Amino acid sequence: MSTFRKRATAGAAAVLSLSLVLAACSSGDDTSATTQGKVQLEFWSWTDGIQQQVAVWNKAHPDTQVKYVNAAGDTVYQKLRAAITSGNAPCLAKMDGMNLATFAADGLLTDITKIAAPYKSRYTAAAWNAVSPGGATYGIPMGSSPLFTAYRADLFQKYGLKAPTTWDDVIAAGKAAQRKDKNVKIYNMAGEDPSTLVDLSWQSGAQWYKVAGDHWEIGFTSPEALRAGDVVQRLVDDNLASNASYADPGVFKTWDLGKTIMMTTSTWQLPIYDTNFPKSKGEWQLADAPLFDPAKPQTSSNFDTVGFLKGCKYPDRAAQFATWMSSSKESLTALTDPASKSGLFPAVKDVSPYVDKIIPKEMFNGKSDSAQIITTAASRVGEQWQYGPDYASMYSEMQKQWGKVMKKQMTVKAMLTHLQEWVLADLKHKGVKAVAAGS
Amino acid sequence: MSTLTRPPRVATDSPVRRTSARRTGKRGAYKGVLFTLPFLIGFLATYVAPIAYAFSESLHEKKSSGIGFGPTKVVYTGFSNFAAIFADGTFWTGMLRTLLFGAAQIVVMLGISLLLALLLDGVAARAVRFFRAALLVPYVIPAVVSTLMWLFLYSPTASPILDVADRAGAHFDFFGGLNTYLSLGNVLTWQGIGFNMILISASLQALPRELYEAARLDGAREWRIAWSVKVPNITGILVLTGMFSLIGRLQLFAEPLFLRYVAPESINTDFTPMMEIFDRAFKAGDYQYAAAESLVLAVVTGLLAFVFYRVTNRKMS
Repeated sequence: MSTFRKRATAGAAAVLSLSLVLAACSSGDDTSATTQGKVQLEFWSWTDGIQQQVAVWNKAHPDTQVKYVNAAGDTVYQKLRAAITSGNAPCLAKMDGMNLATFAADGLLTDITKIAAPYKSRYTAAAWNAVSPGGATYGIPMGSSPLFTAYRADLFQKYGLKAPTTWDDVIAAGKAAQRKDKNVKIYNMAGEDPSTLVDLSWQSGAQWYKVAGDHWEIGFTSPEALRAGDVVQRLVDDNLASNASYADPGVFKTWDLGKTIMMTTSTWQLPIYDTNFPKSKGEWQLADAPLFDPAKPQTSSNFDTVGFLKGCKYPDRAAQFATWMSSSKESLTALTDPASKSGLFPAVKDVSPYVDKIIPKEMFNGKSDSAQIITTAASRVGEQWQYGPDYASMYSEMQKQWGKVMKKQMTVKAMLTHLQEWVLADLKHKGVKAVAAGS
Repeated sequence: MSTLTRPPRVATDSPVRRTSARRTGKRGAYKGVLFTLPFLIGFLATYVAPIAYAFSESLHEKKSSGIGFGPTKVVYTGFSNFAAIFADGTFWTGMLRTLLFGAAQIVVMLGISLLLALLLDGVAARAVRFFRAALLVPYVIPAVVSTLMWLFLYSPTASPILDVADRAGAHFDFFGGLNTYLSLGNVLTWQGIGFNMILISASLQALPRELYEAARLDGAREWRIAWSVKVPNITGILVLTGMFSLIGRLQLFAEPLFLRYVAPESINTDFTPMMEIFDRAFKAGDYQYAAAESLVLAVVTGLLAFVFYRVTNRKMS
């Protein structure tokens, strides 16, 4: 009987949860003063290749020495919270956009709006949004992952399909493929991962969260949001999507064996395809991400950021380092080299010098211009998307409902209606002003 | 007993002796405290203090202002978290699910353990040692490792079992509806049989062999001896293993968390109370509510263990 081990696991989790509880925080001190003299600052990251870049920086900048800490693992955000609470947090840490917003909402970041302003023009507007939840800037963009489509060109041909331009095309192609083979799926939606809906909503121009002066407008049930939800609903209703979990060790077989013939993918995944698609290598082709409105082409992107943590003593120097790392030609050339294994794709305005090298050698059939498609994707990331202050708890709530949607126990519309009410109530409870969009 | 207590009673007649006895008693108690100090410090630091901290946290909530970015305040809100938990359907659904599932799974697991222990009790000593060690292997393997192993076997995309079945033309899924519980139950039973069997088996070994001889002289066969002599004499250990298992099930966490990797639709983030607490604290970042949920879970577990113990004890006597 495994009770003892179970209790140990549970106990460990409980102790962890207790030790990480946050104390009240206060920050907001003026950080615009210029730092003089030699300083050392710490940077937590888990991207391959960054350590080498830190060494390059340190050699050229004796006054601003960066200490790199490899903080890999699922628990990195918990470790960061604990480090901030106990007062020995690093100055900088890699974060995704959602966690940057959550940390900012919990008062765990330093407001660097003034310091960062001169660097703003280097990055895309969408990337800058990701580091500026609610309008104030708390970090520097590190990388982007704009979404585009990859499809099995061989199977598309076999089933007589064309690469889809719009989401309506995707659904039509899915149905057409099933008329030839009823088991084949056009798309995959994982039961644990509602990010599919996030991407679709981002692409359709929806704004789940929108700052309007001193309050939020919450729009889970806006026409754009419902339009995105409707695509998911049709994929579910017509059994057009497989449900392979992205955490499943065999997930790549879904596409490699041709059970699912299309996916939306991004730059960070490209390096792993040559090894993960042993059977279908050379049969793939890229296309622009499916659109909602061809007149207003939009895709979506997650952003990696460098967050400036609470207590960072030299944010000006830290910003010099962070912007050098993620926008200088020297650093980006090294980081986008496959040899660095970083998987990082720049968030700067002109990505064209860095695209060629990240394209896998064996995966594609060479019939479409992969570089052009990636550059296009990077240039059309929707600029309206914002992360709200309770985005993480909303996401956790959405995850519970998403599983039910995939099992057809709930409609997407019912889920969005629930989330709309849930977020309004949650924000009100937390003391944040919010109203329903369009009210 | 009575012979032991009698001499001190005589001794109380002497005042000198009484005081000295008391003094040594006091000094003894003092020494006793000293001896338990290492335990007490550990107990206070690793049990009492975190629980007190959790309790204090559970009485607070995190509040923001304005548009919600920037400094937050943790304010005292009394029992509002607890009030919210009592109205929280997902938490109690998870609790009920875990209890019902646990009740069924524990009966099966302990039944098999008992059967194996009884069988072992009947075979030669050398064979006993071998089987005991062999059946203990699943327990020795860390739960996470064995769950990962099952995860591969259950995976809809990577499972060799499903692959073979698929080739034979049979299509089935290890998850969804009742299958989810059967698959999870199988993992837990596989992990738990050996350990429980050892406990039951040790208990059987301790029974005086004369009992069986007497039963045999009365004409009882082996199965009759097992059912009417052995089992009634080891109810104590059955209650104990049952209680441990019940507590373990209420705190079910690692196994469903991992199986969720391949069956996210069937095992949601609120599948068990522990998973819900984990999600609240580390995914949603609501530590205060999670602390309150942990305390409620601890109290419910304690109460159920107590009730289980009382009821089964009364039945026995």
